[in-house]
Amino acid sequence: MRIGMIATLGIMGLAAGGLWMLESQHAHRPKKQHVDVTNDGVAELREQLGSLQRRLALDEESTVALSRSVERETVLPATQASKSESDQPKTPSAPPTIEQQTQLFKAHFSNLDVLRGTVPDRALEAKVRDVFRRGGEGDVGRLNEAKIDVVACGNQFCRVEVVLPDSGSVRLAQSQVQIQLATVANQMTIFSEPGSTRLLAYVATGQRQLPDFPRLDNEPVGG
Amino acid sequence: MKRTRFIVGGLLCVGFIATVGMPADATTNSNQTGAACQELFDQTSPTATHIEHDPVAVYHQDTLSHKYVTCPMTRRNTLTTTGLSGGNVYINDTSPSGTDFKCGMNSYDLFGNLVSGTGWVTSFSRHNISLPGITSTSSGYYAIACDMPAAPTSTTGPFLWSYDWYEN
Repeated sequence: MRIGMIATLGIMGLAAGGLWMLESQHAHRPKKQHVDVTNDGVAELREQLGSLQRRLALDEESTVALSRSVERETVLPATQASKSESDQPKTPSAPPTIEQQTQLFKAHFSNLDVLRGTVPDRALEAKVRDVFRRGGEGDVGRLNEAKIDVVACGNQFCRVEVVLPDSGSVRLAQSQVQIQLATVANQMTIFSEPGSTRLLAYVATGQRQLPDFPRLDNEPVGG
Repeated sequence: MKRTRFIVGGLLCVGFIATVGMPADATTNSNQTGAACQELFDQTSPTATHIEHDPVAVYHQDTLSHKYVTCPMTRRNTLTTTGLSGGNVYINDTSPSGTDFKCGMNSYDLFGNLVSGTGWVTSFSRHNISLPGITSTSSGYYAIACDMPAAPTSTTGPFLWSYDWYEN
């Protein structure tokens, strides 16, 4: 839309400029005139000079006016376009607080609980538990200190809760849990509440996708 | 006067060409050398060979075990929630199967919670891993994680040249 408007204005401006150039070139072409070099002739010449000076002044005035008009036509629509809905300069919103972010994760996990449903998938639960068993024995040894508290699966979604001995080890354990779950997950999300020793994870398996992460009201969607 | 007209006409032309020539796609492409990748956990042992770096790649020459690395991604648009539309990791997978090199892409919030992460994705040509898109949250950040397989011999280990991603 904006491109179309500017393109049309540009073409119109070029056409108008061209016509105007042709017209003024024609107007300024010197005409062959008979000049009477008598006293009366001098007066006539003075009159012609005055007339030419007036025309020249008008011409300059109209050039400036036209330039300003063109400038308005080219600048204003662009300015207006930049303030249109899609290009509104985004007011930088403040980063979310840890409390806000926790609320968003809780809402996200509530949505996922609904998607998981109430019919348990025991085979998938066993597969997830097995992943942790094998991982715990391998190179992600810190999980040996963790307790896999909850593995609840249904509709190809699994909720996993891991309890750590202290809150300080939660973030490091998160990466390890993530590495283990990545072997069965198509997508996943993991969070913990501030100060908590419990990691909460959700994985989508098979062809399942996680729903969109909830947004704060003042968060812009796209860039 | 003529000069003014030419300037006005020229400005109109430049404005027209510049506007029409603007890309309609708002996706932003970024890339990074594999040398930015770091070992994910401290897996130090007296016999283990560490991850090695040079300006063009990160290398893994340990024949005993695989190694996890994490690779940072600089986020350009920190306010949006549309995340990444995808990415690629350019590698040399020297494992016997050619499919043991795995990577995943993750987005975190400001406080380190995982907003969205992919499962492991394996290479399909020994040289490229194509990663799917992920969502994000305002002010968070992104990272790629890779599992580099053990080297067949001490001089033929896998390596990671570079990686790229497309920010929505």
